[in-house]
Amino acid sequence: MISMHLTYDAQKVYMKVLEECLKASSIEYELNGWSEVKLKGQPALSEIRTFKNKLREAGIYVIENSRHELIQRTKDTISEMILHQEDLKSPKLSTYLTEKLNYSYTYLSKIFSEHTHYSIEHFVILKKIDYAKKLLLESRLSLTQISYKLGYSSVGHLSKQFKKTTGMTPTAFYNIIQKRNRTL
Amino acid sequence: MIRGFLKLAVVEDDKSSKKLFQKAINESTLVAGMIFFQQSNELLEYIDGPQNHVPDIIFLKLDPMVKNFLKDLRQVRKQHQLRNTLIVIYSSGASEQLIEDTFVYGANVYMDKPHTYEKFREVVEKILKINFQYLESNLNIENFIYRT
Repeated sequence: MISMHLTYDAQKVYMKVLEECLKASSIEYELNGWSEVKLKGQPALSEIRTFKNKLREAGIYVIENSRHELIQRTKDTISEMILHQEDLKSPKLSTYLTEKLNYSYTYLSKIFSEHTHYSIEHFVILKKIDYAKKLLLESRLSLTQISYKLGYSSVGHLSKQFKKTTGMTPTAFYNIIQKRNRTL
Repeated sequence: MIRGFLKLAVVEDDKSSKKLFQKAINESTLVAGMIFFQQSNELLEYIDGPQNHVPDIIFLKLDPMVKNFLKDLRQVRKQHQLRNTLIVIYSSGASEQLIEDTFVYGANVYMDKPHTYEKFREVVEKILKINFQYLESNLNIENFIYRT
């Protein structure tokens, strides 16, 4: 029996394994430093999954949680902002998010749209209209009062955005939900 | 939680319409899988089956000639397993009254089916993106109504 004592360069081993995994998949890539891989084009989700599994077998893991957590925090901050819109003096969305989350708005926008397939601005509109619907159905507030509460410049502005987001007027929406509650 | 992909069920009996869906869905990065059914009762049987598959979104063709369409829609909507599933009704020509009724009977989205493939793909993608937000965020699915 021959006994050998080994020593290794962990980073070199890691880079070699990583490059082998990347070459084994058909995905075109670019390495940015030693902890970021940029996948070129638009690889299929299944291809990405296979690639991630291959990495996992080699003990290399894709860090996803921090970004997912940031997206969740962005959504929560948006909800909080909408709920307290009345108390905030005409807040700018980008300033509000940057102050609360400590990231640049450009970075937040990029991460958000990459993972949710939706822009932050569109998400805010969806969330505001969702809240407007709730108030319309559950509170005694008039549409004018709702528009004020949600920081719209006028009731007309809210109505217009409501129609664009749902495809119908607030009154038509209200009537449908009332009828639905009696039907289902 | 970010799912990253959607499971679709399409109730459609016309071959060319199925192809249209297949082509449009293949071009979308949001969809993981799609399954076709000829009729809504086949879909219900599948959901009740031992595998217990639940789609994220159901595309259901509105056929004004089908006598019990609204009743069938209500049956799908009332399935307990489908409480978080979004229902999209589509048609290339329905009366205003019928469109309103589909919402009353539980549809989330009414899609006016476009005549060109490009427009169809565009509208389907838009619907998928909005539905994705409802499935992934704290938005109220019960009050989610959208007409294209």
